[in-house]
Amino acid sequence: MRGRLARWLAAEWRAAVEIAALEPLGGGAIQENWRLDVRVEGSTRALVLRLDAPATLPISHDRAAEYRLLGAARAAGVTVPEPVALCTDASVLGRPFLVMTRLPGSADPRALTATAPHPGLARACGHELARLHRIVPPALGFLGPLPADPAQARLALLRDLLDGLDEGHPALEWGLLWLASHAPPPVAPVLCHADFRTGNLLVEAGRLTAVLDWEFAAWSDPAEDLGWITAPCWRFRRPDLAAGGLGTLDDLLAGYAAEGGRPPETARLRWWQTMATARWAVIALWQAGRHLSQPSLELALTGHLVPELELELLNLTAEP
Amino acid sequence: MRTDPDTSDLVATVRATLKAEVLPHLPPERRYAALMALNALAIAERQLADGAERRAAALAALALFAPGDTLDAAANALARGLRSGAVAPDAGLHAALTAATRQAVLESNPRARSLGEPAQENGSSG
Repeated sequence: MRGRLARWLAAEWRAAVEIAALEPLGGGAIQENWRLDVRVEGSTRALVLRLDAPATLPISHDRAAEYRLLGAARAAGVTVPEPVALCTDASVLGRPFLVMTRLPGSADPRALTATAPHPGLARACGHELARLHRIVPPALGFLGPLPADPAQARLALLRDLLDGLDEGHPALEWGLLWLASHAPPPVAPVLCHADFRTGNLLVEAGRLTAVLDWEFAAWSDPAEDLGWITAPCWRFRRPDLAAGGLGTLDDLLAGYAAEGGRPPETARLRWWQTMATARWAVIALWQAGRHLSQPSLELALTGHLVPELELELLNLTAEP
Repeated sequence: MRTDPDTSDLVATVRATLKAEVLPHLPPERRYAALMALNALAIAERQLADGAERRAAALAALALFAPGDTLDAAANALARGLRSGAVAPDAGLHAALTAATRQAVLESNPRARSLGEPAQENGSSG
């Protein structure tokens, strides 16, 4: 793998390339990340190699799409790794891959929320989302047709994903019915990260250094990203801190407004929090299904998160 | 006759041994995998201890809304009924789904926050 990668990078950069380090990075149940140090033209570059996983979810972007998303987000001022190379030729490493800069910090959500509150980080999350939500069509045409109604599009996607599973999930069907009957009116879609939450945020010394994992990015209601990071399932050790266990909802929305974002009304935010709980449960079911073809303790345990997410969804939808 | 100790005893003993004698000596980068393994063993212990009773209790909770011989059959029928509109999403069904789902949570994660009050049953996992 080292030799093939070095030769490809040398051809890509038209320079002599030596691989100084290549080892797996922890984290990421879906993609495969490698720590990559490369000596080129007298200096060492700290990079990450990100491979397509052997089996991806039907809603995951491939590396080529992620490469373009990183570029667009970076141009909009979002704090992301710089994408530096893309290889869509699967014959080089067996799968497509991208190379991006490696930024300092840890994304460990338990460690981060153990030392919360971090109101500055919650505000920084608001800044990042407001900058991201300035990206609107016709940019990034490869993301596909714009949903006329982002909430209904999400509902349709979840129904399709549930239909792709072997067994029925009545608690999730209940949740989808509640969501369908309480859906907010449509808004013009913007670029949403769609997995923006503690665990995908790289933090170094209290500072946000990178927003990671863009594989679910989509045109949607900007309230989707705000509802996702404030859903009960992403608060880890601080269930009392709505903004991903890092800070309060007010911290997050103040940061969002300070960068020009318009905070959603309470009912719309609550709807997307409920949708977040349902969507994470459906993704977890798909990940648990992948354990059967690709045995992994992490994927197997993800399946055991589903009952508590279903119960959370039932708790959130108790009122008619 | 199966030789004692049985499956439950073996799984519980493996988990206790890993936790007391192996986990403390692991380097930090291996600790997360070991904690995941301990969690998986704790789930297996709970399944062996009262998994059948929990599934029966969940099936009983759903019986009024979706007759079925097994929990899977009842859940499948109920999911289809909700999707097609044949089953109405009313308060009684919400209570039944909540009762059935609680049984699954008590097996998968008895310390889950969505259970509300700390669970008394099997509360010693992990």
